[in-house]
Amino acid sequence: MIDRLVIHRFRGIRNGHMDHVRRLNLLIGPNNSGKTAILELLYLAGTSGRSAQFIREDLLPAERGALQATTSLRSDLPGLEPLPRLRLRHGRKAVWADNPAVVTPEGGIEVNLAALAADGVPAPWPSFRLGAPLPEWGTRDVYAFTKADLQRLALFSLDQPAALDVSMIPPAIAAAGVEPRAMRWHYLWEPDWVYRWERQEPIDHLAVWSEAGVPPAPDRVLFYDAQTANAHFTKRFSDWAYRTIPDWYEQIAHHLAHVFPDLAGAKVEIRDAPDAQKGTTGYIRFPGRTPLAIDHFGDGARHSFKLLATLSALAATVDEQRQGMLLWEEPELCQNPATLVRLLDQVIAIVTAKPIQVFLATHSLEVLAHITRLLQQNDILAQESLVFRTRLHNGTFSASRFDVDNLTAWLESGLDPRLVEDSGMPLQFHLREAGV
Amino acid sequence: MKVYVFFEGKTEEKVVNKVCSGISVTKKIDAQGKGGLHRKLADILTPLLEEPQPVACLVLRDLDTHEGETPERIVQSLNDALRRMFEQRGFQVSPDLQPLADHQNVFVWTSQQPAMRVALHIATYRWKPEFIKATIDDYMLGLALEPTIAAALAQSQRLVIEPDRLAAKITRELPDLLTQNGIQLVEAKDYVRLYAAVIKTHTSPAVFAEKVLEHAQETTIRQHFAALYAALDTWERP
Repeated sequence: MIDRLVIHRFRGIRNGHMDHVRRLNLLIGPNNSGKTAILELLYLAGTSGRSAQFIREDLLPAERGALQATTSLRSDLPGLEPLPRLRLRHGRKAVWADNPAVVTPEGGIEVNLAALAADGVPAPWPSFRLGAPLPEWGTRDVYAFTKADLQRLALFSLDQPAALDVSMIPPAIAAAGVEPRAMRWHYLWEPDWVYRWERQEPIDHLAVWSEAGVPPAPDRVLFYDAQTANAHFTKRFSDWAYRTIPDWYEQIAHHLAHVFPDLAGAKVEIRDAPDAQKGTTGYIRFPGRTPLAIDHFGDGARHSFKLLATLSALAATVDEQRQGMLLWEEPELCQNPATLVRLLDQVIAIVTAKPIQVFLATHSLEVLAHITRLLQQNDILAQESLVFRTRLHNGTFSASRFDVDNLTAWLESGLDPRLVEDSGMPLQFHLREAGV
Repeated sequence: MKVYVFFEGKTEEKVVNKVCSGISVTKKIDAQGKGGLHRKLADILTPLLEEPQPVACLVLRDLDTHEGETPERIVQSLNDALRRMFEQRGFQVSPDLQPLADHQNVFVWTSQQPAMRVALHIATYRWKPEFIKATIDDYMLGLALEPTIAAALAQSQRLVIEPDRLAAKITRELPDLLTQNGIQLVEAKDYVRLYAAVIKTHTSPAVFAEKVLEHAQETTIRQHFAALYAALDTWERP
């Protein structure tokens, strides 16, 4: 599990850190306080799992000039391309046509960082290469980078590098006392993702962050947001899950019936999406009736179905060596509070039974109150959980922590942990003991 | 600055509502007894230690001498609770509440990092020296027995009785009668209930306190709660 993040110039975050990260982490806080940025940062870092060799010619032959690295997978657990899906979230075209990179004759890519220089601040270093691993003798080369990759890659990661050149360590991260060998480092060079104001150092052209702890298996990261909920499954994902996970449909039906008791007894299938669309979708079939696409149900049911389908696939394929990560944005989306409570119960039951780290961003008081109640009832979960109230001021990100005792005291006293300032809302909280 | 006020019960809440009326209090928190007060204080303030806005907190405590409490012990106990709270978030700070020169029952302490101001008001005044403890009700009883306030209270209940006559009933006649019947009055709350019964109002000390404060001039309230006002005044100082 990841337990610490130190951030330099990622999206709206000029610098910041998040310490004491736990297994279950709730991100609350005002709009534009960095919650989604943290989810996206974790997603990009988590899906960085395609092997490569990082080479900086200007540093060779020093050890720090050639390091084992990774870059973004071609697709994540649900079959989506990491960078393109995030670009779409932010209103850009999925592919990045202006990547200052070329494919090398050896099947690597060479990135011309000098092209990023702006505002009179030079590039952090002139260029670097990401070399692809060599294929096994006589096998097809599945590792070589292609032109299509150029439009989809903007990140490389260095896992506990033996040595890191000083030009690659942002001063703010160095000041945080981060030991390069103890962290996993991520470098993102697409300018849209880099905090662009007040550049002073060459490294300011890059978003850089480092994390401590054990990262998830790159293909076991699930970023569940509105975009995921509204899209069909990729055929790649549903075929893989059907082939890999015993009784996957039955598992989905089981979880779904807990969230929507009216669906108890219904069977679940995943089949081609209607109207010859790309991908697949869920169908609910009651005995003696024709199947009904989950997209015909209300949005709450559709969101729940797709989350439970992907999460049960994640849970079935993780273990201590290949841990998982769930990044869940706004669980409250389209949910009636009663449904939301049952959905949270199911998700918490699934993730606590498996080595899955959870980051959940929410504005919902129902989510916060219900999670607090769950923590009150489960000491172990309480010790493994924290709520972070995020804050972004003049580019500096920080978060204040609430454990179960803090949450209980705040809610019982009528204080709203989500709010930094008093909003004057006529709300009163009352936490009850179970059965009272 | 965020301002939090912690107290033991409803009567304090009424007093705080009045005394803090000119201050923007973020939250008034009734800990429902002294037992969980420090825990509640720490649980609420701990997350705020990691935020840039300074925090001020006022703690109101009774002095339960019948349970062996002394002002020194209360101060030490709050110092310890604050220190533990700071340690939880990695601050090596040693809180050291010190008495105000003019009000020895008010203790204050200020920290720069984290930015926090703490004021502790201990109710040390006993309306009758024989009382087993000193509480906010002692202050309320003293205030309610002020002739102008007693007259106003009686009038509000449509009672025709002189203030000194009313006071005599509450402080002598009824207590003597109870004592003769083997019933001891040991704390200010006992007298407050008698007072409320005599003027035929709700006998809850908190409701009584609210009524008393309604009928009191601000200058009189300031005289009786001078120490509490002094505690709040410390926040105005740089």
